Amino acid sequence: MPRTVRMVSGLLMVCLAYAFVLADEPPPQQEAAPAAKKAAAKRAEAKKDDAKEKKRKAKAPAGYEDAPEAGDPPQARNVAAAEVVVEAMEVQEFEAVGENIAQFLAGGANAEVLQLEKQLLPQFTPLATAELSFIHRACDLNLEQRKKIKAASDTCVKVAARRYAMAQRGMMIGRSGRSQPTVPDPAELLHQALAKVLEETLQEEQQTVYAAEMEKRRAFRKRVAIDNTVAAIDERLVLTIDQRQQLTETLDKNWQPSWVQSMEMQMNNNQYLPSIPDQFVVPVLSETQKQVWRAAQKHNYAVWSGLNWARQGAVLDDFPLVENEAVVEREPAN
Amino acid sequence: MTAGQTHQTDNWGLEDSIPATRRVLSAWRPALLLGLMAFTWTSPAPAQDLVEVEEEELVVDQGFEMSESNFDQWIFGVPTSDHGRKRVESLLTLNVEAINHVCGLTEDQVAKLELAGQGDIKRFYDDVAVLHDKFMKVRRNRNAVNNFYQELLPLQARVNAGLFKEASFFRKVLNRTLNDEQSSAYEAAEWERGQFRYHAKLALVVSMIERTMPLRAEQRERFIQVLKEETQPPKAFGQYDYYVVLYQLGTVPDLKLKPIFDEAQWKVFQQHAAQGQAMGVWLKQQKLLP
Repeated sequence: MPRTVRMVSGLLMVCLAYAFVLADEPPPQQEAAPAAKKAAAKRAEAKKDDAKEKKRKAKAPAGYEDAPEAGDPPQARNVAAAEVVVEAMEVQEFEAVGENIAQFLAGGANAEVLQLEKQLLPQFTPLATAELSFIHRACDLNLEQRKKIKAASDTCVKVAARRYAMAQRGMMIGRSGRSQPTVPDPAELLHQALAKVLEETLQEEQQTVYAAEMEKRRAFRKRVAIDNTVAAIDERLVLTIDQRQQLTETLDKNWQPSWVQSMEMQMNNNQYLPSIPDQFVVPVLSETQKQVWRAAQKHNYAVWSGLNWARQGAVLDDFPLVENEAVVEREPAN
Repeated sequence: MTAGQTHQTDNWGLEDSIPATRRVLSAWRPALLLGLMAFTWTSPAPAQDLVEVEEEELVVDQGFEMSESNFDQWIFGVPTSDHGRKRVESLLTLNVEAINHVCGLTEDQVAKLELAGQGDIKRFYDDVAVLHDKFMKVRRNRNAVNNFYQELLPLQARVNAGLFKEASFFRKVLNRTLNDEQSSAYEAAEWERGQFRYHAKLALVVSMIERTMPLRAEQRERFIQVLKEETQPPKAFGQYDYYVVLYQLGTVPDLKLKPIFDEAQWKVFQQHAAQGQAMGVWLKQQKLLP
């Protein structure tokens, strides 16, 4: 017997068996529960919910008691409110945040942003821990300075996480209003959030040292992103030495800070070809390379990453808050 | 509209229709039962050939099925094989053009290289076809797919590394076709390409470590310099270049690296190096380590 006939026959048998079972079941009773019984059940349910809510709030970090939990049913999407959030994010300069971060946080955010912020905090915290350790190393902070910076750091982490959450939320609903949405660099958000307290705490000389280190670090990250991008294009298009140099110069000249985000993808994926505007690439290519470039699948730079590494890797954590625990810095041997 | 009507509308009238179905089924039950019995008695035994086919097929995991596009995604990195195939073929043209640019090939040399490259492409697609047939058989069984994926990795590594590298027809013909002068020029250009690519990955590793252990500019420069001097590019470039660098962090003598870091940094660095070392066995199996 052909296979399809057997399959149809089997299906028919299942249907018939089901029909018999259905026919044997007693019809559902339309019994109306007494009103008092219903009310009691409702009260018990409400009591149970209250206890659950109290337990959840007790567990939540300070300031996040009302944020929804992961796995909660999605909130009704309030596009209008989200638009306001995104507009505020775009208009607000980082310096303005630095002026009054308490006010920024007090300004609040919608529930979805708060939920994201809560999820992001454990990822931003290691970045901040490492950065404080670095500031201590670079600037040789005294105990008073360390205490002051540490006291402000939790709020700064919150600000950075909220700004990241706001940007992510804005992109999720597609309201950024840009053809290629900008992804904030978590490390940069943190630096900007810390800027005010560092300005108030560090001496002029220390500020100069830290600013110089930051400038060199940014320049290094830019160079890494450019070189890895050129290497990825080279792998696909087999560039000549001259073409690699030209492309490196063009990207350097037209650099967008958000392109740094592509580095995260280039760790694991050598097929990742970032979506650089054609105008920066095509002029240096041969005809065959142009065809391949145009046909190649490119990826948007808007990658929501930059934080996973902080969770996976070991973190530099030495920011002593008492004098006798101060780190003795080793003089690098020459 | 009455309250009762509203209720019916809200439930799409199902509550009323169920009892009606039951009544029909109850009335026809004897006839249905007879039909079922008759069907069971008249069903012939399955044919022998069908039994053989079923024995070859694996157990199907309910609700689990990998689509064909997964196979293309794994091999080519894109969900459509057309795209992937175009990429493989264009790579041959690009390779010949790049060599021509460096070495100035004759028409005869170009023809030989193109023919050899087509041979590599044919050999690659033959291997892809074998694995594709296997994939179609196992794609509805979770365990079988997991095992299959391990078989697929070498092919994936081959296409990622480029089909015209060591051990390819293309490379063999290239070695025999180029004269000494052309050969030197080509080797120099390839060495430069490899260095560029490796140093980019090396700097990427340092940058990622800096996410959780920021370095001063002077420390960074020395760290990179030591890594350039003490580590080597992978045997074949591909998607695991990053991990080849990470692995080699643990192979650099402590004497060279330890002086760069302070004690706390050194501890963190060692943890990163240990993560890289943990991948050593796998990288060796893939023959990627220099």
